[in-house]
Amino acid sequence: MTPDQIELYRRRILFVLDAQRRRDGLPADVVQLHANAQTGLEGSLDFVRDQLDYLSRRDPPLVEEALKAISKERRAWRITTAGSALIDF
Amino acid sequence: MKPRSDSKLKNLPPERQAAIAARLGAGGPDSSLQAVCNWLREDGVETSTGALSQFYSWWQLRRQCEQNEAAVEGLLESVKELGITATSEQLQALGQAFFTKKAIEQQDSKQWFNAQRLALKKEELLIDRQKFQRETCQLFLEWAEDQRARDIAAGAASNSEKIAKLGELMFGEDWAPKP
Repeated sequence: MTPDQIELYRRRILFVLDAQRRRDGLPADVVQLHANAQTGLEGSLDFVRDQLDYLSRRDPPLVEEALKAISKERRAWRITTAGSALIDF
Repeated sequence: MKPRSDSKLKNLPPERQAAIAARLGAGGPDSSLQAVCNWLREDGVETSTGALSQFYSWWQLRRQCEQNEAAVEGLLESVKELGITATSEQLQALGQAFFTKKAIEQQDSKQWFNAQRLALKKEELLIDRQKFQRETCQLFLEWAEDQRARDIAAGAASNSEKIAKLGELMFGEDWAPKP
């Protein structure tokens, strides 16, 4: 993906997490499902996990882990207030 | 990514949001983005077709989540009623797996896929515009230091002649402006 496509993809991840707010958070595969459908891009599961990690390391964090599991397959994510503020319409 | 605080549609009460979504989904001339924009303006809500498109995509995703969450709650209730012994972690895992399955089922629907893509074009255009602006500023900084460009800009030629000369200088053979 080009830098612009990655930027677009990250925005869509935030968009999906903002719309689908669950107490238990969204697993990365659901985020991937929606972000791929919305962008028309084919982000792999590992790519999506990397982007979620990137967004969680921003200052302030834009996403956070809702379910901190031992295995990476069980991790789930939700948007933070700072992330939600970027979804503007 | 800079935060903005003028999220008008996102901050409306849920009933109002549902009414807007219902109008957008009704079909017919009154449900076009522009028509709904005008309808909202008459009601004191200033927004754009791009924002409205984003809102509709977001609202559909949210509604899908609520429906799936209700299905998860129903499943977990059934598990309890059946007297199946499970730890809270096992129930959480079951809920996540069921939620994911529902999401995949819905994603398989072409109609759902199309609805999700409504807002995409607008966002792509926005990013293209931001890129264009960034590159224009970058070019300006580069060429502001160039003596040949400064001579053309300060010359007595007309504006269109200056544009033509600068275009040839900056883009060479690629310069092919339309009349």
